[in-house]
Amino acid sequence: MSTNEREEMRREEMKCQAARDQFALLLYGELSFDEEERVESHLDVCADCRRALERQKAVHAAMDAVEVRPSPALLNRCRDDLSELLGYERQAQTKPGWWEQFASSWKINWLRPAGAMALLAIGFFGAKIAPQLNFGGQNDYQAMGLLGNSRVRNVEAQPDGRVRIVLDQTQQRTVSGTIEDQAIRALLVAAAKDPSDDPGLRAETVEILVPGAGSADVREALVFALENDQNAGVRLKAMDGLKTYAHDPAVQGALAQVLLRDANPGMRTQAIDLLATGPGGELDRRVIGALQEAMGREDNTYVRERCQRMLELIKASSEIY
Amino acid sequence: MVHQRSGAARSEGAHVDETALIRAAQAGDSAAFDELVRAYDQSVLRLAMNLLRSPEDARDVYQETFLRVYRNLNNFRFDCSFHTWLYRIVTNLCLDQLRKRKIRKEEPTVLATADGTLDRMDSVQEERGDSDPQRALFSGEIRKKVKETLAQLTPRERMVFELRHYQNLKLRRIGEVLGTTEEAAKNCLFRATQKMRAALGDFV
Repeated sequence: MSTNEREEMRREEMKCQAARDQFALLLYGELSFDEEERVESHLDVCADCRRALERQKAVHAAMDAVEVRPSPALLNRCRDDLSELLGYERQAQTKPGWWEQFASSWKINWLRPAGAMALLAIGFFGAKIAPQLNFGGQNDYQAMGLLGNSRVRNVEAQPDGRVRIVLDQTQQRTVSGTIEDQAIRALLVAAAKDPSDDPGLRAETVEILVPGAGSADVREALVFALENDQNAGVRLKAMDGLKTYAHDPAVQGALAQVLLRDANPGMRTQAIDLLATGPGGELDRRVIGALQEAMGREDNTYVRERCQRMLELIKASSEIY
Repeated sequence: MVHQRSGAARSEGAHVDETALIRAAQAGDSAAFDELVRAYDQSVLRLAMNLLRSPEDARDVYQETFLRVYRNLNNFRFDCSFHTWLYRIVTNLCLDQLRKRKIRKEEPTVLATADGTLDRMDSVQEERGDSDPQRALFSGEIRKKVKETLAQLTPRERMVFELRHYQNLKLRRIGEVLGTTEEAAKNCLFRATQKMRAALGDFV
């Protein structure tokens, strides 16, 4: 065979390889008009590639044969489970009060960035003019002695990334500072634990606090809300905010409490996932006790089964490692 | 409500209906939300089941997907189709699950037993109906090889392959769902099909 003939053969082989690389996309109809034209032109003159294309079609058909379709029984079980969970979700939703309606008219995603500024507006009973004070540091703020005798009445989002907090106090002042200011955070922490019947206040406060969950005091407030808040929406926000700290012992303790005590099965289900998933997605064996106890007292079939599956996974995992 | 297998070919009328349904659900209409679920839940469950090949995991993904839809529906702004938005949620959940499996190396689909290999799914789900003439063409050996090869794909390859081959989505839509480009999805599909061809070349 001459050098020219060998080169010609290599060129042909390359053409064949290039054409065969396109077969899958050809069968999926994902080639452009020109690409398809080139492949088909090659197929017209290459019997080997025509046979290769038939084999590719057989591979496709073989893949079709392993497609699984869920049984109607499984679909019905899923629908029943979802219906039950949604029922609890709907019950947990509180009717929107005047404040929530107001707040919902502002989209508050811009509150999330760390370092969001906080603005405090303090209600001044009977007064028409309020002195405006800006606070950049905790010394100024603490000098006012606000923490000792004030109670957060309301919080609301501002379009510029700040929050407005209304305090019940004997006089009205406006203060501002960053969320990193310890005194501002202390007020927000107090608002998160506010015992009044105003879940909207606590929900917004928790949402504002979440970006600061790296701080122990903020995390402690979120844990408190998760364990104690009467409103499932507030507890859910707190749990979402603590997701990345699921390995923290205090957070794990709170999640175990949720699993064992929370009235909302959706919350309990999510607690299982967070408890069982430590950093890197590996199972944390410390949750075994909580899961076993939950198995004994759980009355929701779905949550119980989920506990059981998680325990089985932990068992399987411990056998692997 | 009309929902096709691919979710792509819907009539204009059905699209308008769906928009009205979503808006009603956003306004708190429980019946509208339930109707939305019913329109898509079979596709969601089938996707999860086919990808994860575990009824328990598929069930979890189903619940989590629609709970997330319920909790976040007010954030849906019609920037993309509802189908794309929904599939972003379910594919992310499935990818998380597949990645966890890669870490844990847990729950193999095909188990080795004293009596040979056993597919965990065989007892609990329906593969393509026995009436499907194609199925009869392929021996259990080939099906086993296909399943093994699918399990060896990376989560991303597996996802793109699933969406293209079994869910019949075009690569452009797959790119939208997975938050990547059509080209990247095409490369992923190419790698997946190359692996399938290499693994099955001797069988067909």
